[in-house]
Amino acid sequence: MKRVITAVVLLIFLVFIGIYENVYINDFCDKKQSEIELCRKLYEEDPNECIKHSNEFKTEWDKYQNRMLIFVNHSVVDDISLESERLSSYSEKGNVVEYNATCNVIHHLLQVLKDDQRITIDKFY
Amino acid sequence: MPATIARTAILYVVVTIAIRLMGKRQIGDMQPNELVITLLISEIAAIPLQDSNQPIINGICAISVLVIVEILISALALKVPFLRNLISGKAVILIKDGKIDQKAMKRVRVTVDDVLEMMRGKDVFDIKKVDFAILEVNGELNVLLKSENNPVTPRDIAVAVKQDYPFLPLISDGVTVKENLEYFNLKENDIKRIEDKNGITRKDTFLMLYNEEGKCEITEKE
Repeated sequence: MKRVITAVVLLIFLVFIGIYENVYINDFCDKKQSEIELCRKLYEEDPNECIKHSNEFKTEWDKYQNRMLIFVNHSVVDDISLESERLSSYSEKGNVVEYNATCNVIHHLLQVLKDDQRITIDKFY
Repeated sequence: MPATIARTAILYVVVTIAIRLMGKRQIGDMQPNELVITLLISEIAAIPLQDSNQPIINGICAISVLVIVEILISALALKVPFLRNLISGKAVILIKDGKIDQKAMKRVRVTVDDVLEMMRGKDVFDIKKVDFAILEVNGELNVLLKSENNPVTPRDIAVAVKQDYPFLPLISDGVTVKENLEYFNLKENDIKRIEDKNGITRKDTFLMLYNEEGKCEITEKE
């Protein structure tokens, strides 16, 4: 009976971790995706503000990426870190094509992280 | 490198806890589902160790789920015989009254050589002497010899024998074994008394065995 109780407690704990992970990653990625959209918009409208936002994006990503590493594949997190570095440099010296491409890659990688949290039929095979 | 060491240590602890939670059975005594779960756990534990890009929590979650499923299914199987048969299978009688059941052998895909080998493992070399042989779900063959082929016991020849009591350690490697002390309703003073009686001190005692008759065997430290 002790084992069954342990198993049930463990199951509840796992469910909570799963829910927390899902909510945290979705919220964080949504927030980051909207920031990227804002950066893309500001590149042409207000370059100074764009540099500021791009640097903020990078700083914040560096700050929170350790928490992401607990739950998601490290290579995706590393890719986003690399792209956020590019975003910051391209905001100052890059052209619009390079900047937009970087924005698209980050947006896509964040979407990959979000999609990983979703339970879909295609993940079963 | 330090990360690999830390990840390995964490997974070692997790796998050990998982196996302990599942129970004490040895590899040979495992039911088919337990064997599958054990193999899966070792495979899953290896993934985060081989690929440092994989979060360790993925491995821990997968191992936890396997342990939970195993515990819940085995608990359920205790109550539901159908489930028990479905998961573990049924024991099959291979020899009855000295005759091999060939249909049963085909059903469990065991050759006659396998049966003879398993019987030899039980010190039985003649099928005719076997009353009953059953292939258990863990793959072990248990053999019951015909009454006339069983070794003679004191009861058969009506000889009164003295009951043997097992010896348990009161001191092992110089340390008192508290649970055995409680089992015999003894106290530390009793050990001291035994040591005094045998002219030995605690620091010289390597092993002290004791049984319910009050017999004591002491091995001194070298």
